[in-house]
Amino acid sequence: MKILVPVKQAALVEDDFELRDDGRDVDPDFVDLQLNEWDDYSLEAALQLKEANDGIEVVAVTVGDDDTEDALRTCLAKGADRAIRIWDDVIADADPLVIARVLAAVAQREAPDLVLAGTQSSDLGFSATGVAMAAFMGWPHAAVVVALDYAPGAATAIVERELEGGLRERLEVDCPAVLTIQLGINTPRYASLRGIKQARSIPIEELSPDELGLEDQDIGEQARGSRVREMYLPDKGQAEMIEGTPAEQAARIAAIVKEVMGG
Amino acid sequence: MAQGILVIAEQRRGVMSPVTQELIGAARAVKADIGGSLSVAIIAGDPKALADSVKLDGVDEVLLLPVEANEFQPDLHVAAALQAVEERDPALVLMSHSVDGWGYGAALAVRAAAGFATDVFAIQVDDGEVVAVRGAYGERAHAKIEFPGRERVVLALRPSAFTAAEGATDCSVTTLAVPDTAVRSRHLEFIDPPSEGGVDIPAAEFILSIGRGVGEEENVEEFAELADQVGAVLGCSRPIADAGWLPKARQVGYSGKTASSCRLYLALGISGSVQHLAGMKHIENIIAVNSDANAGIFNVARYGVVGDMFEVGQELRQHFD
Amino acid sequence: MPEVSPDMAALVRRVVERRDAYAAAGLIAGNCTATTGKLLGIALPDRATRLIFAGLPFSPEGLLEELGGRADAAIRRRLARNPATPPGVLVRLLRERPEPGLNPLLAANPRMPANMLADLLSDGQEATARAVAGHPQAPAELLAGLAESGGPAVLRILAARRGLTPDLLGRLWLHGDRHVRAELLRAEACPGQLLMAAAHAPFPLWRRRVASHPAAPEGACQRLLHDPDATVRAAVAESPLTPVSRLYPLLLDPSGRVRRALARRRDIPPSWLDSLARQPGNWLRRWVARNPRCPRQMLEQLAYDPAADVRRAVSRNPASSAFLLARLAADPEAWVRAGAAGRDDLYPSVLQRLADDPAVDVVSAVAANPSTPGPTLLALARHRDRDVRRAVALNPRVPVAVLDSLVEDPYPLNRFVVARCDALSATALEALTGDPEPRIRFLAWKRLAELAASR
Ligand SMILES: Cc1cc2nc3c(=O)[nH]c(=O)nc-3n(C[C@H](O)[C@H](O)[C@H](O)COP(=O)(O)OP(=O)(O)OC[C@H]3O[C@@H](n4cnc5c(N)ncnc54)[C@H](O)[C@@H]3O)c2cc1C
Repeated sequence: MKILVPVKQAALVEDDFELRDDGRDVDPDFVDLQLNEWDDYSLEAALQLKEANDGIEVVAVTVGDDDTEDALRTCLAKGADRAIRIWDDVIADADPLVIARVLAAVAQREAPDLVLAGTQSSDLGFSATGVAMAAFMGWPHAAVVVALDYAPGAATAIVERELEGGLRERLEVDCPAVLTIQLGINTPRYASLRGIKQARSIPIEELSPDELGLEDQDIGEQARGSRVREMYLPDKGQAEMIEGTPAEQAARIAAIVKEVMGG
Repeated sequence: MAQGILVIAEQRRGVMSPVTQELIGAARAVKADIGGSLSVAIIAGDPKALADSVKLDGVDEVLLLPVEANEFQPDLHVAAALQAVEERDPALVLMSHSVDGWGYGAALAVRAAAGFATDVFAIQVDDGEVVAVRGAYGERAHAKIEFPGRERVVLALRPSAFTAAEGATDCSVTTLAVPDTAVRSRHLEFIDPPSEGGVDIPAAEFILSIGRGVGEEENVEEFAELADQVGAVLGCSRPIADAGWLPKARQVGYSGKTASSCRLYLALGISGSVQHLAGMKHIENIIAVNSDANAGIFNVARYGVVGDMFEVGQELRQHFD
Repeated sequence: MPEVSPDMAALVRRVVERRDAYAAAGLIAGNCTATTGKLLGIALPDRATRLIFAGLPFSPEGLLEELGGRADAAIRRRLARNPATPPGVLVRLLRERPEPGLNPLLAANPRMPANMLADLLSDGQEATARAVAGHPQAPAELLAGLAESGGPAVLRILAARRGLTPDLLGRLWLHGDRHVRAELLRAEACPGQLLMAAAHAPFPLWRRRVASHPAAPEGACQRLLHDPDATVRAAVAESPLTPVSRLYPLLLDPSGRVRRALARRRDIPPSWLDSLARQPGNWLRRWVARNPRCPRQMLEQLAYDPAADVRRAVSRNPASSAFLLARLAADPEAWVRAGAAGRDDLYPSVLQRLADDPAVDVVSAVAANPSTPGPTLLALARHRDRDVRRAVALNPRVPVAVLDSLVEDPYPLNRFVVARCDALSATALEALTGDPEPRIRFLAWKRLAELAASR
């Protein structure tokens, strides 16, 4: 069987940054790229299934330009069997619906038995891609999964979703399905140094939307569910600085403690 | 031409979630600019039982959408919401950016061919066009989102960001039939969080956390006592747990615990590395005490104190027995 | 293992071949003076990398100097903030008369030369004035001027300075409000008559400051011992200057705060500790159990205390005997066992047993314990828990061979810790030069360059 794991090369932005000239995003000079934290967990969930069962292939896929290849190398180094990257400049600045549309086309081609996506991305935090992908594919889905009980080939999976306030919900999902995986479901591994070295020589399959049968109307401007009009810095000084001598500062802290916690 | 606003109420275990009131509050605030009426859809096994709780100021109509499941089920939720959208043709659909919201919002947007944005904390209407405001890159930047070419927009709103609607109103109640839908997942049970004894960072509402600024093991006890005095659970950054000065169960952060229930986090002598922030930056009230005015922790704190944690701690204990 | 000590020219050649920015920066940091220009080119290939190095506190000076020569606004901000930026670069940034927002950052940088502060101060910004008021090397006349003209925030910063001169103190007393004055009551230079007067002041904070002052007049202390405010009495109880014999009345003080302060004193007679340990409240027993003056017998009793935190305190008390520690090593509470496991005076057999404890806190303490024998450490270096493996690397007596075996640890933080260990062999450093983590590579190249430079 096959598990498809969509991943994202997420952008970490430093504290002191500038915006791009068109004002719609952060200047890439101020960005550090890293595999999205949630994807560490979805990949780990897939790898654990692979290790516990025979004959499971784990395929990592990302929609992104050259700079996102590292995310896939990380997945390969940890034990993914194959990696696919889809790109075309039309997709630049695309919203999650377009990304999901592309991923759905990949899924159609790969015909996986299960899709494990991250619940959200650490940079923009839409929490939308996995579920949108399921909608394009017409598959069942469950979001924010913190426990997964699935035997390859089974008609259903038993999962737990993490709800607000520590509450959990146990449910049964028909398979194949798209599950979005939440932090804490497992302890993601780190790639061994040997794995990292080996991953360097594994070829990454590169595809264009065209090759997936996608047309401009599927992924072009008009397919986007949204567009950034403008990015800006939030009002300066997020923190209200408590000035004064230590005694004055402590008095204020004590007042805040009493106000927030009551009593 | 689509017109009006549809709010999709959120409920769990037969109780209306507080965020629903905020959704209605947000809808009311832009209702005049959007034009049309404000409908609130309740999707539940017995929606009628919840109808009164959403008859709030600004609501013109309550839509009842009975489904064959008491608890949230994505297929039914999408089908019911689509039904309401089809019947009322709203320009704006508001839902909650909550765990259940994540479970169906994107699917609804796809199926309704609507514009879509999540985690929205402000809504503007420019010349009749909806513009949503959300955060980006861990709130370091804010983004205005527009929806060119979309006649309808679905927005998932961040809980606690909008003022809740109040004031009862009388409005019509209509029941809409939800078309037959294949149900592809089934709720089995809720599992309530365990009420653990001992150290429980995820359950703590008030955490006093110490970092390397504490200097030596000898000093840790003093802050343990302070934590007791102020009624907080003691937490720490990784180097403190690494040194064996506090148990690993008290470590907050990426490779430690997430302070998920915390309302107030007092960070003393913690620099604010990304890994530490991973476990606490979401907390609404963060007070950071650090001798370095440039410490990264101040970027996520609501209140900042540039100062010595020993001096401030010493003074703080004077206010508590 | 035969140790090859590296050759600088060969190191440079390899870095030039690899074009690795962090490796080049590492060589520069490691005193490599050869072909610096070429290395700089490799270390600073594009703006994104320049921005990173401008802000890193471990950037080598040579790099920061290069960056100071061609800085845009964002790089200037990072350089101005960076405590590693050399004084020359800071002065240069100032001379270029950049955007006014940079001045407060420059003034706050501890490496900004003192003779430039007057120039900075002339910009009239409140933020700059604050930064100058807090600058460790600010000249006296600037500070005096700030005391005369500064607002409340500036006065507070000045009052908190160490080593206040009598002159500055006098000016601040004159212009400051009661909170500023409370700070001044902590200064060493605070005159006796001010302290005496403050002992009668209506503000508990002032009286507390007097009680804690190392030069508090005799009479003042005597008076404060009976102060109506518990925080003041606690300060008296804490002050190492109060002779312990005077504190007897506080032993039965109605305020727990006062008695807890007493229990922490290192010079307190055993009989008093005994009395405190019998009073209600876990914290009293926790402090007593931590007190190195606590007699053996009492420690033995406290080792059976129902509160685990008290038993933990016993396990950390240097006066607890190996015999007592052996018992705590079998405590049902992991955190208590961990306390014993961290003791280097534990019986070897007990330490050995704790190495197999199911709790990570306990095994980590064994791994970090300097008394743990090499073979045990070697086994723990392969423990499945990454925190345990890291504790091995943090062990001050870890054998080189064990340390070297950790350079292949899959957990980056562990390799980072290893890369910083002085004992690491050159061969192991060599293995880290190709590490996927940039900061680890930086360290490895830096240390190899240092080795080569010292040849
Ligand atoms: C893979 C990985 C996972 C990690 N996971 C975690 C994690 O889960 N949790 C975590 O915390 N870290 C984690 N870390 C470590 C993290 O990177 C930082 O090293 C750590 O958080 C720093 O802890 P700190 O803030 O206590 O120490 P430091 O960074 O050393 O900061 C100490 C701070 O105290 C201030 N200070 C010093 N003296 C005083 C004083 N007297 N009064 C006031 N302030 C003072 C200093 O200005 C400084 O800002 C992880 C690292 C890695 C690589």
